[in-house]
Amino acid sequence: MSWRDAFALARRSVYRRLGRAVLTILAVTLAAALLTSLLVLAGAARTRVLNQLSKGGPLAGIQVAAAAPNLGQLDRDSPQPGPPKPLDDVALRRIRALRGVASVIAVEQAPIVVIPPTRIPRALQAVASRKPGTIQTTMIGTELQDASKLPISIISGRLPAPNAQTEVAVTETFLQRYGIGKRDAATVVGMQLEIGSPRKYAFGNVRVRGRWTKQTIVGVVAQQAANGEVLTGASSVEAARSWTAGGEQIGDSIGPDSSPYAGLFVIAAGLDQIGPVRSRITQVGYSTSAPENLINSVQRYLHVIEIVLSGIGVIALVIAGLGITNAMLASVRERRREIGVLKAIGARDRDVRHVFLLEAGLLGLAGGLLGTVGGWGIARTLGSVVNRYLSHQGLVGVQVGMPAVVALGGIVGATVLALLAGTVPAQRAAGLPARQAMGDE
Amino acid sequence: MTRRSLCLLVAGAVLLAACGGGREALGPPVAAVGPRSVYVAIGSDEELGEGSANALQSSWPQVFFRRTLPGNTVFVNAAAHDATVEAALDVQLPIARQQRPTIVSVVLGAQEELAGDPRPQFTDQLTKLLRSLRAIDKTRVLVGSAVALPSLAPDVRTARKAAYDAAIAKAAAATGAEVVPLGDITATGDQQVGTNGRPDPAFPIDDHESEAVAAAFSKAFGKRSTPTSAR
Repeated sequence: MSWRDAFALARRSVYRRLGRAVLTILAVTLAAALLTSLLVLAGAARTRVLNQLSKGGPLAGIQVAAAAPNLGQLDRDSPQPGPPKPLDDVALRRIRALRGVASVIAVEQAPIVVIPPTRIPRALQAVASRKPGTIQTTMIGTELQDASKLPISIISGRLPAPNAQTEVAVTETFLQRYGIGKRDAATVVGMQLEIGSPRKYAFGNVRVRGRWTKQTIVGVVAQQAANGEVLTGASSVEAARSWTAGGEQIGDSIGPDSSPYAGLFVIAAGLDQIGPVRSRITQVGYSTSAPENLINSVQRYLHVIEIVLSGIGVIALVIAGLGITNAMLASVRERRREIGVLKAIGARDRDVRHVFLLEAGLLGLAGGLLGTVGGWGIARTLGSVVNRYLSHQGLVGVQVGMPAVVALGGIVGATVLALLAGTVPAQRAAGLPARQAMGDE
Repeated sequence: MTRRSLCLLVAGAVLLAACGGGREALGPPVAAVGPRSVYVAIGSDEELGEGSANALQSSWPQVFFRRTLPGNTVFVNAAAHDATVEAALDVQLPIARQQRPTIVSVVLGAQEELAGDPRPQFTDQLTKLLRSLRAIDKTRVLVGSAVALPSLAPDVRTARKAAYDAAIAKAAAATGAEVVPLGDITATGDQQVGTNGRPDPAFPIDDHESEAVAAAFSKAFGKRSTPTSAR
């Protein structure tokens, strides 16, 4: 008997007992859907957390402060920094050259004065409980094309374009000036601010001259890159700093920090490099902080979660496999006469085995296909629910995409499992002597 | 194409579509990056908002910048308290040169007007200032006319204003600067507290008058477009 004939017989058998076949396929579908959705969600969690930790995301970064290390707190994740120490280009180059450092992002800051618009948008008017006057604060600047590596999360809108000169993002502290929370963050997006950099000069008391620009708020962010309410590109902050630095050295109320950089964000070459790189930066003479202990805990918990999720999926598949075995055994019992006839007309044991294995394989393939698509749908739905929650919390959402390996694995895995589950019934059918099969009928 | 292969094709397409995914960050459209215009205000107390309840927010150059100038303009307020033309040449002109402005406003002369009739060096120094500003990058220079000072006796006030107007007009004509008439915006003489803690006799203007000065400069600005610098 050729494979083609065996396949035709298997297909016919499936159609003949359609109700049973549908129920068997449904069991495989549900199991495959469960396993696929769990794997997709576990993958999303890995992307959101583990990959960020291990491949240079914000949590894998080491924050370097413009301060000397505090020798009594070196073993802490977030030690109190020692006395202020300028962080300049020489220090930047030295840290960049350290072993285990993948990249270094500089964070700059400049003192600014913000004049909010006199007329505020209607949506903001509806939720704001107060209206700020002139605001004295700090503007933070960095190379925004590297923003994904920094501890910055978008709450609403987007980040300023890397080379834009008239765009800023503001922080939650700015929202508090209007008495609003993260939930209403979108109401400030699109608002235009006048941002001035002060330059001191002496006239009786200390006076300031301003260099002003109009900036549109394009987003609201949660950030731990440095202290400040306004985030923008490095070039805007450099221009502001350079204006302020041109002033007279009078008093210390307003003026640029003596350090050219407010801080550095060092990305270690790997998760295992965070500790050694921190030690090397300490030797260079700067205070560092990094969530080393947190990373280790998160890694452990994520691994446990993955094992549990995979276990649940595998149990479901095994149950579905037992369902296939059960259905196939019933099928063998019902088709004794057919098996006897096949053998009587010359079918060999292995031909009968092929028919039953192909039938099991067909059920597994159909269930695997439907289950994989269904599992992806479930994961997408759950992902959108999770994203809604995360965005309410002011956090970046997860990206739920199905890796090709999971899709292929779902289909192939279900088919292989079905073939394995069909082995015993196929073996039993193949082992039936022709006379016994006919006689029993 | 058979039904079976069609089904397989659809299932494959669905799976391929499923392998993509992710969400795009939303937000306002990205602003176009273009050449910036730079505005420098040269002047004295009124440019710094002296006389206003909220000096930073309501000084007339700030209002002019807010309402009239393009969104990508950088505005530098170079004004200094009690500035004369001579002091502006020393202190404010270097600041303006550094900024390479595309437009400059000059409102000076109140301190000199308070002291007496215009002396020849007032016109010379103002001409020098305006010429230097014009020479930076063919910069457009708007120079405010004189204002009738309320602290002067009524009979002196008008004559002195006319004399300063003539001097300013002469300097502007010699340099290609444009005169912005401020004659109608006579300061009310609300005896604002000056920088020395005493009532300022020079040019104390309140928010309402700031608006009027800004409107006069906006009107003059609108008469022709200003080039932008390549920064």
